[in-house]
Amino acid sequence: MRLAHSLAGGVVAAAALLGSTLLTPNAAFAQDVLRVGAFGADANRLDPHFSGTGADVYLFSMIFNGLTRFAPGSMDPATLEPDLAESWESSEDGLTWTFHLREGVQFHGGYGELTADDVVYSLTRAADPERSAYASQLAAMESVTALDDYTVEIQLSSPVPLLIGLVANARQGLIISQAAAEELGDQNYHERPIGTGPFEFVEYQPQQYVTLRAFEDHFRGTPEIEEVQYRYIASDNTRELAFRGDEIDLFYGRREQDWVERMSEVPEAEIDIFEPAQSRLLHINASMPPLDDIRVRQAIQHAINRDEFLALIGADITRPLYTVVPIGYAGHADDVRSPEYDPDRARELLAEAGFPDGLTLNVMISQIASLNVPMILIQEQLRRVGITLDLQELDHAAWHAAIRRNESALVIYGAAAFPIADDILTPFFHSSSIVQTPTGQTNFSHCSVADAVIDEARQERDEEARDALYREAQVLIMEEACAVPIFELMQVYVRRSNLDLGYTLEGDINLGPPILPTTTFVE
Amino acid sequence: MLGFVLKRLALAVPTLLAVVTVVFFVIRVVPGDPAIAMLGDSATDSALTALRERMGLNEPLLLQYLNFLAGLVQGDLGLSIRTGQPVLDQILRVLPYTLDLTIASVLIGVLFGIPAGLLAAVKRNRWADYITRMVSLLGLSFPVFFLAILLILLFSIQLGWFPVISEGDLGDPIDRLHHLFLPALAGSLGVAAFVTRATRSSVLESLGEDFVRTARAKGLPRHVVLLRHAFRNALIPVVTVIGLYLGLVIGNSVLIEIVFNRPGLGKLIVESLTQRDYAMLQGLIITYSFFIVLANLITDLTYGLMDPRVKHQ
Repeated sequence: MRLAHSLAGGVVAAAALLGSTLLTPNAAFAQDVLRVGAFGADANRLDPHFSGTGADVYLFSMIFNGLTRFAPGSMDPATLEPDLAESWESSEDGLTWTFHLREGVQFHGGYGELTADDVVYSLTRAADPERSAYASQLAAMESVTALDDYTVEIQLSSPVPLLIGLVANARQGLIISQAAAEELGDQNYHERPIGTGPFEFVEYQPQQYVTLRAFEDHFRGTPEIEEVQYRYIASDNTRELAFRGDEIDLFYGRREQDWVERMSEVPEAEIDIFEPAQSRLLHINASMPPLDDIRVRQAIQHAINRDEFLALIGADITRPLYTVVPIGYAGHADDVRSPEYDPDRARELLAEAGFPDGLTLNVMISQIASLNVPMILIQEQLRRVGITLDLQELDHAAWHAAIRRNESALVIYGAAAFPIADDILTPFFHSSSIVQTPTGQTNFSHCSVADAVIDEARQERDEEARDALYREAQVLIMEEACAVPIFELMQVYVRRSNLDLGYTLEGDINLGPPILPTTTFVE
Repeated sequence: MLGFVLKRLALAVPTLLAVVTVVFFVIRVVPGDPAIAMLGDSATDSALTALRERMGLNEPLLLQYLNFLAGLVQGDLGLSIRTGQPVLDQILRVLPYTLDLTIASVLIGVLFGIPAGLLAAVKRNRWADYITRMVSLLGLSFPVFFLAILLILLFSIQLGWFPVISEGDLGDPIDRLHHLFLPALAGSLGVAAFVTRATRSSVLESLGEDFVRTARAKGLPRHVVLLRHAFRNALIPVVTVIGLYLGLVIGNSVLIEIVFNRPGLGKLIVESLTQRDYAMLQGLIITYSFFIVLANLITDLTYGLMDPRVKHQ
């Protein structure tokens, strides 16, 4: 009987405990706190010159500014406008740039006014390979000096396609407080990131969230939104459930057609589909026979059917890509088109090259769905023309290592880079970027046919002439069949319909809807 | 007793050392490294090389190992490659969440599992037994993350009784429990199923023993025979098994932590693996091993307490 009594007692206690927890209400929905669901299990490192993960980059856009910025809601380089710099001019040869800073811009945390010294410190740090992941972007920057408190001069060693884009409000262009960095120690800046943006850093709970508070002295005005709770939620499901459970207001969505369709039926959800589109290019490794034979590469070009990719991944969130420079990039050539889908021609070319019965290629692929799924479709499309892909699936980090060791015959790749042609052409198609070389980056195809044109375009100051050169580069690359451009995948975010962003969202360099001082919840 | 405990703890040290050594070398054999994970897809080779230099990844392996050991004896688990923060700090920060989840899962599981197993044994081959065994089989086979999502859909979205994202303020006990309930419920299913089956078979075996026949022959009432004699003896192997299972429960918490977005060791280990954060991985493996050793030790001690035949030298 004693056991029964103690069991009964236990049940009563449990019931009481359960009852008390039920009485605790859920967090009341506050209309001046923006709760964001970011994609990731945790912050990588809260240092704007160091971390490149999507979740961190979006967070930094709320905390920092650059000398220039893209107009909110746009990723078009033509919209670059003043941010911390009011105006600028350059010398005739394009090697000397002078920026005039806004006066009276305050840093968070009482770190005083922004001066040219802070800009010099930030850009020097961002250009230093020991302290920054983006040093290569500023490789052409020979020196940066403060001419006076509000004037900065940047000296380039060679012309750069779009300097005002490099110093925009993203990545290497983000301006930090020199005083704060020296006080915290340069390597510990991530403990308390101090910037000039509309929101200031309050606290970071590892694996959970970062809290930001509206910065009253922001140079564009006190934000309407008082607090941002930036939560790290690794699981797609959980992000969606948290939105439905009224626990977050804005989140990184799933890039799947039926999910987008399903979410559009939810009354309080507003779907934003925007740039940068992540391009998917299939790089053909010409250093691996028989891919050194142009006919085999051309056969692959003809075997790809873009319509099937759009159908597979979704018409709302993808667009077909016909040239290696993505749509919307400065220098994108609309009229350059990769050879049409023609499986018969593909088989013909293979036969001509000496493979009437087809051939087999060893290919490695990452486990990540956004790379894995397209590759499986490519495998099927190539199989139809007689090319068999021996697909080896690796975890993401291992795959990265393998493709940089030149081990895969085909590499499907894509990045959302800065929207100018050079940012795709140089790392992917210039011979200086060939993998396994000292300056190697991501030239998996060992392409070198457009080197001269790319180099010339970098030096060219006239926009029209430059675009013509980029067009030529795209033609050469397409004719050499270095890579097959397939499709682009847009960004997807979901927000509450009563969250008024304050602008039309077509694209953002920081991979998420910018939260401006004017962004607010409406009734 | 004290001598027993100290001896066991002392034996744990070479075990931990062996585990740490194996892990240290094995994870560095796996292709891919933290540099790419940290700098991202478009990093240049020169940037990657510079970062590797800075992180000390290019030093001879043996030297790295010795540096690590030197730090270890001072209680320094090193700095996380990803965040730059001390590994020990990060682990200690999320440890309470994992311990909460593990202990609560086991408690709830045992709370349901033992009575259920007892019931099944007593009503052997009758309806109660069949139903209990079926439910426990379901519990073992049901994917825990799916159950977690179902729980969220029902209790968080439909009923609004519990939050979706369950972290909870460690300082506030009510809030902490409020956020713990659903995840612990999800985690308890496997434990309950397992404990039910273990209890059932152990009680059945006990009921077949001579001493039970003797007790019955003495004319003791049924419930006394069952509870005071058969059940108490049956509990011993069940407790042993729960103790061994504790280590697994900590590991299984990963999926629950991901679905409920709870901070914890499980989530941290998955992140560290994909990011190749060697220092953090080593620290976590040491932590896991330590807890498994501890769980085994506690189980042994409890076993000794419950079974008077076991004498500690």
